[in-house]
Amino acid sequence: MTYTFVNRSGLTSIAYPFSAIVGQDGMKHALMLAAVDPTIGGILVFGDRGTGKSTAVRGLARLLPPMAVAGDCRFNCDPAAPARLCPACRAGKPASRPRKVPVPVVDMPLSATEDRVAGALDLERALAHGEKAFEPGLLAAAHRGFLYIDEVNLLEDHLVDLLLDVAASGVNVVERDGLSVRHPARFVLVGSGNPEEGELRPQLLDRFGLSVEVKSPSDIAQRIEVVKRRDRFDRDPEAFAAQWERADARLRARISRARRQLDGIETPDETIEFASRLCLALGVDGLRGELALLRAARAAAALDGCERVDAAAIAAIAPPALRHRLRRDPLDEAGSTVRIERAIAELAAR
Amino acid sequence: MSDVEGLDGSWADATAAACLLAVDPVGLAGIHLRARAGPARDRWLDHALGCFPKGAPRRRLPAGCDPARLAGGLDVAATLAAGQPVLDTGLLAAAHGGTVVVPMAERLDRAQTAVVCSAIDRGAVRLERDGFSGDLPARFALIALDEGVEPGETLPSPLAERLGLTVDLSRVARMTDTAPDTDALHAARARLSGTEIDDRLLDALAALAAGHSQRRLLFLVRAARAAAALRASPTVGTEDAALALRLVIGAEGVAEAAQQSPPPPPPPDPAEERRENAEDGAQLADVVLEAAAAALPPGLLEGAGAPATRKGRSSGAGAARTGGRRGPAVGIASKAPYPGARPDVLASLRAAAPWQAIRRRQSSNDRAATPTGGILVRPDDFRWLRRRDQQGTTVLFVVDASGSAAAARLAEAKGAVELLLAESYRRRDEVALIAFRGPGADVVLPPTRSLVRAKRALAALPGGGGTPLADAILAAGSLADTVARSGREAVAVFLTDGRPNIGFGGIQGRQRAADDAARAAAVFRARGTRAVVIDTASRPQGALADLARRLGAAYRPLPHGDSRRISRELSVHLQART
Repeated sequence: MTYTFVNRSGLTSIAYPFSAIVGQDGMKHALMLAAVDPTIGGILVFGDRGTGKSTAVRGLARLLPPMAVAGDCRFNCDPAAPARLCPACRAGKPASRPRKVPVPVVDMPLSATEDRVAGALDLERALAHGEKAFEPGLLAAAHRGFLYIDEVNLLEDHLVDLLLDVAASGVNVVERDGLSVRHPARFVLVGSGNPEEGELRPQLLDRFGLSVEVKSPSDIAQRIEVVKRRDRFDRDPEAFAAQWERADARLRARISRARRQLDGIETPDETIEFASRLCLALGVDGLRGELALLRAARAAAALDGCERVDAAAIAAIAPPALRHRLRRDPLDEAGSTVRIERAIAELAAR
Repeated sequence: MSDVEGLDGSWADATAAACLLAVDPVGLAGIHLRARAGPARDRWLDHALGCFPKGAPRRRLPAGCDPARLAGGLDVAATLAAGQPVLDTGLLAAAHGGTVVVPMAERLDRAQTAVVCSAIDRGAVRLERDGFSGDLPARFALIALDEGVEPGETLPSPLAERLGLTVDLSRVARMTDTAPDTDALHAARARLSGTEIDDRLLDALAALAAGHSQRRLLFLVRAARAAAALRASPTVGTEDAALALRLVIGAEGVAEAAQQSPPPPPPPDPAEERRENAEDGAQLADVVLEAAAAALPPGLLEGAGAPATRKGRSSGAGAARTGGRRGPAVGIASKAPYPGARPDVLASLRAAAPWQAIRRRQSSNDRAATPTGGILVRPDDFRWLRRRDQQGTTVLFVVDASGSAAAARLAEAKGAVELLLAESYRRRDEVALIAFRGPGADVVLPPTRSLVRAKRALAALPGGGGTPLADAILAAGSLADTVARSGREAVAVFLTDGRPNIGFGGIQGRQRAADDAARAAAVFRARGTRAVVIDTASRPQGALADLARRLGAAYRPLPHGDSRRISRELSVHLQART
């Protein structure tokens, strides 16, 4: 039986430009924060259907500055971080010249099988030549980039467990039938979904650094603009992408600048204290919330060209950083944002 | 092809939908066809498939088709025979460039829905299975046959949202045989990209689709353009927009839009010309709406007040837990879901296949017994099917123990629970009890099959106090969640006389209490838990029937119901489940 494989990145080689997405500022901002500082953790995008969730994530790939990869490493090893090389790179002589590759945005379908996620025996070589070789999976492909799961709330439990395990350790381990592979796998998990279809397990919810809610635009002019842009894109993707190339390039430059400035951002003690108090007041368990809050605020400051993070910056980023960590209010999700705002107001009044 | 005079336009619309889909299959994605199996549906389907080019692939999904068949994977037999990986193209990729018909689409489960929706979104099946990685092109027009009869029984909402057109054959009175004009369709396809829509008409469509999702508006514009292309008109006319409106937002949607006056024009713009355009747009919206409504079957507009809930259950499978022993297969895992589970032969062979050459070489080196021709399977190869567990039902009794529900009625409710409990032994159902009175609702009896515990809890149940119905609904919802997470289906049975007087936080007041109950009901409904409301008031009032509707629940007034009648009613209702 014959089959056609199209290029790995997707069927349509041209993605809808990120900067051409109408509205949805919260979602776009959160994705850019993760691009500036991947250690923020994942991004959860929950909300109405047909709001450009997938489009934004796929558009993100074009937006990111390319990254350096050690020689011909199949695990996207970073030549600048020798402590985190894969065994092959560590054992091998200094690899050939680093090459620049686009930051991977890997699409994980819900129908993926475990072997393709974690990596497994290379079928072709095993069958044709009887060789035992490892074929890296999606976790390897997503290293230093983004792993995107649409309808993440529908993902099978055993795959969720695997993802959580790797996300926590940053290392993927495959042991099978004498095949033993360990390779680094650090990625930003981007999950999107519709809460009506099912809830996300709390363990997974907590792993996301930021959560954003998207709603269908209610403004008619905005809706019309969406239709017009989509129509132009559908008719001539190349021309449309070219038209938005400059806007995308500006965003790319902004992200690059923010990345360089990130380490120099000052975080005064009183800001850290404010963040801790806020988490305490809201009853957010563990340190993860506080870390996400501070990291996101620093990334936001870097994006805006600020030099220090103050309490106002923390307050601004608190809803997406903490919303999904609050104990559930059974009535509605909007309620948690209100609770955060109320807690901020109370802290400020003190 | 003109209809006999006096007939509605449903059949003409239905066949037009198929033509539009054939003109713009990628843009419109598919048709949601609501019809029972029968001659009307067969004829429509013949016509619809006839609209697509001859020789284009046609695929029909078999019932209960597992995701591996949909997406594709390793062909074990061919792989072992060929000595190299052979891909079994899934059904969706095999339909590339053609049509996919999904019979009984209302029964698609979450895993199937996810694969189909992702293929529609991407125009390709993303394959990451059995060592294969890549995109298989899969652009197809999908025809979903929705045979749902119950009000909530319809397509899983993610799929319904992605299909551009809706056709309802239940109102079709007479059919006329029409052979699709394939030449005209072919010409229309070529003209499509040159067909323009006027800004004012776009404004009008946007105003009419204001209550719908962004995607509906996109579909509306695409359908209108396809209709214009089919008429060989270079620009979209009001009749095209009207047809698109009926097919994209459906008859109910048109009826709703007709009831409301068109929403305000787009936000004010300093440019005078723009404002004029907007006013024109509002007028134009009226014209389109009139044209759309004119072709609707008579009587529909009057009935528009009735709730036309299209939301449906949230894909139904919310109450499922994987790792179970029965139920449909949802995936394959390398760990046994429970001790002593039997591995799946085909999946295990699939895992073993790539290793054959390596193992054969190894075993010949070892000079061990070399089974020639046999397949070498090692423990590592074993694979287990993950099944979605559906192991019975938990009936949550939510009993009004307030002062208004007189002591006698409470006793009847207790009796009904006891009777049901006895029955549940045979049916393997569990029972839980939530009582609400005074300040709030309590889980008096967590899910159990223990007759003794249930009787004790019931006997100890006191009566009297206010009626915090809203709290009771929330408590039932969260208990239903817990039950669902443990892999059982929850059915909530509310026994009340429906006179709430306590809202959230113990706040008194009838109006407040009723409002809160309605809010709680909306939350409850979003979960899709099945429910029955039994009105125990001696003179049933409309309020409770209304609340039942908000809960998405069946309503049974039982003014003189003794426990036996209540129990019998419930048994009937519970057994009616699929």
